[in-house]
Parts: sequence; structure tokens; C-alpha cells
Amino acid sequence: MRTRHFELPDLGEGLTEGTIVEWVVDVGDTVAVDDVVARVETAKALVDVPCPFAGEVEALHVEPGSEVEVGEPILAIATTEDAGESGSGSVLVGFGTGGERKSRRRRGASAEPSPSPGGDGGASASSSANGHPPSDPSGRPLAKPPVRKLAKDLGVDLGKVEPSGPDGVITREDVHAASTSSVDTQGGEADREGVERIAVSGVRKRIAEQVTRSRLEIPEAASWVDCDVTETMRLREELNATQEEVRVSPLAIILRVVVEGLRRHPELNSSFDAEAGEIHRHRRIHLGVAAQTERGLLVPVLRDAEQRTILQLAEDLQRTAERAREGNLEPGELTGSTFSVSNFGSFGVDGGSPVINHPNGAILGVGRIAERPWVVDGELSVRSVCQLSLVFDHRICDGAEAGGFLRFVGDCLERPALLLGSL
Amino acid sequence: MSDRTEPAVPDATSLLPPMRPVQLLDEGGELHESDDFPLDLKDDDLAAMHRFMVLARRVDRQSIALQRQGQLGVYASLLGQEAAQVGSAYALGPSDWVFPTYRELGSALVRGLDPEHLLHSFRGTWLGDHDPHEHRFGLLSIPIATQALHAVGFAMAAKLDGADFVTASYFGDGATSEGDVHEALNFAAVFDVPCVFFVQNNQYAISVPVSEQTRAPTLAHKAVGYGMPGYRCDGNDVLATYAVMRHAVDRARRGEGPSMIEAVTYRRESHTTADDATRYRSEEELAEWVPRDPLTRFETLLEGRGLLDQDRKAELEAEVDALALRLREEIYDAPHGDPLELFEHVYVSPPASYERQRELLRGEIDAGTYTDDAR
Repeated sequence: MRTRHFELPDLGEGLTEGTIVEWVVDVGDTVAVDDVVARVETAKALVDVPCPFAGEVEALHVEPGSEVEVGEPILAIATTEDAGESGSGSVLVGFGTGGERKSRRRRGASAEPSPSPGGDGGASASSSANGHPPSDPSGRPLAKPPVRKLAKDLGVDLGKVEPSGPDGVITREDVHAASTSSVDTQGGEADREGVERIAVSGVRKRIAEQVTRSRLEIPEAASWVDCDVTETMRLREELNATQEEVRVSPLAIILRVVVEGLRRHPELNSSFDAEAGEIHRHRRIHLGVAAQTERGLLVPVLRDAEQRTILQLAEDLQRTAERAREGNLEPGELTGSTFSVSNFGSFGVDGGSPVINHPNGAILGVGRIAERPWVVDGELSVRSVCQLSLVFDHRICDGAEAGGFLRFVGDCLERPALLLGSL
Repeated sequence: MSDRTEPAVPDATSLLPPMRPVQLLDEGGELHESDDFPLDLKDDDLAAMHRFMVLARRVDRQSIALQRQGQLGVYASLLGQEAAQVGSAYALGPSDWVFPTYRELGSALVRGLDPEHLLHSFRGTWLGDHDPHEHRFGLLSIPIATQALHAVGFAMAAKLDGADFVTASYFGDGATSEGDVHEALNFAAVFDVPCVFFVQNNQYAISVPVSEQTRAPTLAHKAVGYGMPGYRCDGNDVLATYAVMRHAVDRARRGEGPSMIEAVTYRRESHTTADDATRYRSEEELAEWVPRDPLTRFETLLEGRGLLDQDRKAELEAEVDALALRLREEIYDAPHGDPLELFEHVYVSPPASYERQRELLRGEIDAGTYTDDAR
């Protein structure tokens, strides 16, 4: 037995990335050589990818829906003895230790055509004379593919690099020079400064893209309330004392309250489509519930939450949490939310300002529930208090609606009996 | 010049192909023999042709898997064209020559090539390709239609040498739109050389359907314009393909000149592994060709004749699986050559631009762009 990693191959001619659309296998499944393990979409086609090794699936390194660069490991197989290597003794070169990445092969000229094929572009040379860095017809600075990769690896923006090559082509040396000047003005190696460079990939990359997109596109506003959830905690105890099927968490009750709030304030269950100039108001309520897993932050979606009871939502939460932990969530379970909830209180923090899960219109943050001094009927007493924060897309509604929703949620948690009126 | 006899102008109607392709084995596996295209195959021949078809299909599947695992740069599938390739190549004699396209695995197997040579080519290693003289099978032509000229030139040379062989120029429907095919057909006819043009009309030139390729009634009709007979056969019928090819090859061998065969078939897979056929053709169209599968109808015939039973099928399956495994082991992570060898063997005195490119590549190698396994 040994673990072998299957790296995303170049599935076309000179492709540099692909998106794992779907895993056909789960962790723990046994696969034979050439069994299809994943469906991968590239710029050219959607293809079934067969596994080169036989054995047991040890890990799926990549979430469905995420983009993977060619050469990145996507799957780990605990191989059985004659795993596709009998006789020839062929091995996957360049892999074996965790996290190590070999440079990609065949990032070929066909993916990023040499800007001036078969000759040297006079046009680019003349544009150089204008004082602008030369670029290809699509406006990209001129550089060979491996130099582009180097720039990407070093975080150097090619648009800001002074080219020294013939006809304004940026060379490897130019990139190194730009990298040293921007990263370390002392001229020393960044590594000597104790900086570890970590390639952003997989779930981390997806999150980075998602939050960046959200903060770039959505003009957000936030408001928050502190609320006394003592009664909610009591309700929870009663629910847990009277049935054994499922352990009800405070979050399950909060989700049920959120559903009721969204019913009354449907503008918060909306998405803003800038391109179409439309607000899409969703009739169904699909709740994204942010969950921290071993592989990073995932937001599994509880579909049609408006049709679920508190107990059912509690079950849903338990099941998705388990599946997320095991890495068994289907791509469909991670997309399509209409509103999200982030229970960052589970990290022990009081409050926060979560990033809207694009293209949702709002997100509710739930802080930790802690015993605090609280005034009840003019008397100081010790109560369970929780801070809720609502971050919303100001394009879809204004403070009045957002405040109304948040107040409703807070009121229901302070006096869960209010919920009964909605039954 | 004066003693040269003018060849008789052929009667145009005698050259015309039938609109309906010659079919001997129908889709249900029933044999309808033809006096015009007689069959001279023994049971052993039928079994051998079947084996080649099964082998071709299995190696094809293995090749696609290897490409999807990053082991081949690209691969062009022959799925659906097994009968056209095996039937036509089987009609050739040992001294005859094949000038293939890049999608010619089936013909290659019949000629005795080890498929690993072809796969090494698609992987890009030093072990790619083969000695064309060994099996009289030319190198795979990646550019479209160039091999048509090679076949004609070779046939011209054979005629001058008085050598006894026929050349078979394989190409596809798309190639018929290329200037090279025009020149090849014209030269072949004018110089009356022993060359057979075997066109596998698999209905698509990458994404362009035949209907957008030509206004000719059929591809075989083009032959008439050059003064040679055109034939059409059901390219999914291995026996019709064999018989029509045999007729054309025998004719050429007797000195009666070139001819052109259009084998009507269908490429069931995408153009290559870098293509997505679902973007330009419908599921319905693909489904129409499944019942016309070349292997199914041939197996029906063989089973009816007692030449194929479960035991034989299992035996054959074990054989082709073993071959597929051997191929996988041969190709998997097979080392590439030194990338710098790209620059060897072309120029005696390389031009300066070439030297600059070589230095650029050397710089990239030194910088670690290529890992050891790529060397």
C-alpha cells in the first residue's frame, strides 16, 4: 500500500486548468485502473476522467465546482499491490511528499500563443516607442508562457514590468528584477526574511475569489442587535428533553426564526442582478450555513428551508455537518443558497461583520451565546445574550427593511412564543 | 513524344459511383453477396478481421484513457470506423503501401504495426513512429491531405521502377477540400498510377459536416472529374469495404489506374480528445449510428456461421485486455527526449533565429520550467 496522487492532466492541447464538475467516487470507494473518477470541464470539453491507479480513494483534494490548475493533485489513492505499475515499474515522478508541486508540463504555446508567431512583431515594437509597454492584440504584456507562470508564482504584475527582451518581450530576468524590487527593497531573498510562499488553490482559492467578488460588487451595510436568548435556550432544553430523535441546537431555532423573518421581509431573500438591472426575489428559501471543515470554509445549503420544522432543520444541520466533515457533500449541496447564516459564535467570538455570500442579498452573523448582565423589568439579572449582525446589499433594500428583519429575528429569539403566531 | 499513345478518354457514366453505397452485410448481420464485388474470404480471414476490429476498439479505448490521465498529448479516436479501416487494409497485399492519416489505428494493426509506436507518437517520445518500410505503412500525417501526394508520388515511382505494388492513400472527408487532394487525384489520373484513394467519410471535419464541405452529389463523384472511377461502400460494413477495396486494388495492380472509394461511416467520438462533439452534433444523430455499429453486425454473421461463440469472445477479450495493459505499461510515464533535441536534425547550419530560440529554451530548462520526467 502506498498513497499516490493523481494530478489534473492537460485534457486538451495546451490547457492550463479545469473545473471539477463532479466526483463520481467517494472517499473509501475502491477503484480499478481506468475507472472514471471525476467529470471535469475544461475550456474545450466536459470529459470523464479515468483513474490511473487501482486502490481505495483516500482523499478528494478538490471541492466540486472549483477550478484546478493542470498539475495540481486532485485525488489520493491508497494503491493496491498491482496498481497499474506492475512490470514497468513506472511511477508518477515528482510527487509523493505532501504539498510539493512540480512545475506543469505542456503549458504549451497553444494555450498562450507566442505573441508574434513566425516572426517578430513590428507593431509591438512601435507601441513600445510610444512609451507604453508593448502588448499583444488582446492587450496583454508580451511574455512567454513560462515567464508568465513565473510572474504569477512570484505575484508580479506583468503590466508593471519593464521589458528588456527584443521587441519589448518581458524576460525571466525582468520578472525576477521586478519581484525583488517590489517584494524586498533590501535586495535579499524573501525566503531569508522568513516568508513562506503558499500557493493559493482549492477551497482557499474559491473562498478568496468568492469574498473578493462579494466585497468588490456589493455595496454592503451592516447593523446588529444584542438579544436576550434565555427563552430560546429554555425552548431548546424542552425540545431536547421531550424527544430523542435529534439534538436541537440554538442554531436550528435561529434558522427557523430567520425563515419566518424572510417570509415577512422577502426583499432580504433576493439577489441583485446588475447586468439585467433586476432584483431577483426568491420565493423559495435556501439557507446557506457556513461551516468550518478540515478542508476549509464550506457553505452547504439547506434547500426549501421554509418547509422545514425546527426538528427537521436540526436534522438537516446535523446531516450536512457530518457530510461536510467526511467530504461527501455533493456539488448541488454547496450551491444555490438565497440567504446565508454564519455561526461564528462557535469560535467563541461575540460578534463580527461577515462577508455576503455572493450573489445572496444578505447574511446573518450569529455571535456566541454567553451569560451577561442584562436589565429585565428594571432589574439587573444574568441572562443568555447573543449578538446578531446583519450585513445586507444596500442595492436590494434600505435600512428600514433590514432593521425590520433583524428586529423581528431578535424579538422572536427573546420571546419564542411569537413564533407560534406564524404556525 | 511522337510514339506516346493518347489514352482513351473514359466514358463518364462508366466512372460514376452508385448513390447507394455498396453493402454486403446489412445492419442485421445478413449477408447479400454481389457479383460486382465478390468475396473471396475464408473463415480464417473472417476471424482475423474480427480480431483486428475488436483489438482496434480496445486499444482506442485505452488510448483515450491514457490521454485523460495526461499520458498522451492528444488522441484521435476511430470508434465507429473499425470496419472501414480493417476492411480496406485487409484488401491490400503484403507489398502494397499505406499512407495513413493520424486516425488510422485499425489499418495500422492490420499491417502488423505494434500500436505502441503510434501511442509513443501521441505521447511525443523518441520511441514514436516506426520504420515505414517494415510494414509498408507510412508515418502518421498530422497535416491534412499531405499523405495523398506522398501516395501518388510513391505510386509514380513504383510505375517507373516497374515495381509490383499498389499504394493506398487514406484520407477523410475534410481533406477532399484541400488543394493537396486535388493535385494528388489529378496527378494520379494523368500519370495513370497504381494508387487507390480511400476516403473515410466520417461525416465531420472536426465540427464541419460534409454538407458544408462540398456541393458534389457524393465525395466519390469527385473522382469522375479526374477521369477515374468512384466507388461508394458502406464503411460500417467490413465485408463491403473489403470487397470494394479489393476490386480497386486489383484494378490498379493490373495497370488499370487509380480510383477513389468513399467509405460512408461515422466518427462516434469527438474529433480528438481536445474536442467536444456535443457542441456541434445532436444526441439523436449519434443514436442513429449506434445500430449501424460495424462490430455488432459482423459478430451476428460470425455467430450464425459458428465462427464466434462465448468462449472465443472471452478468449479474445482476455487477449485484448492483456494488450491494453501492456500498452498502458509501455506508455505510462515513458520518458520524453531532451527538449533541446527539437533543434537537432533539421538544419546543418541553423539560422540565427533558430539559435535564439534554442537558447531561450535552454534558459527555461535551466530555470526549472521542465521537470526531470519531461526530459
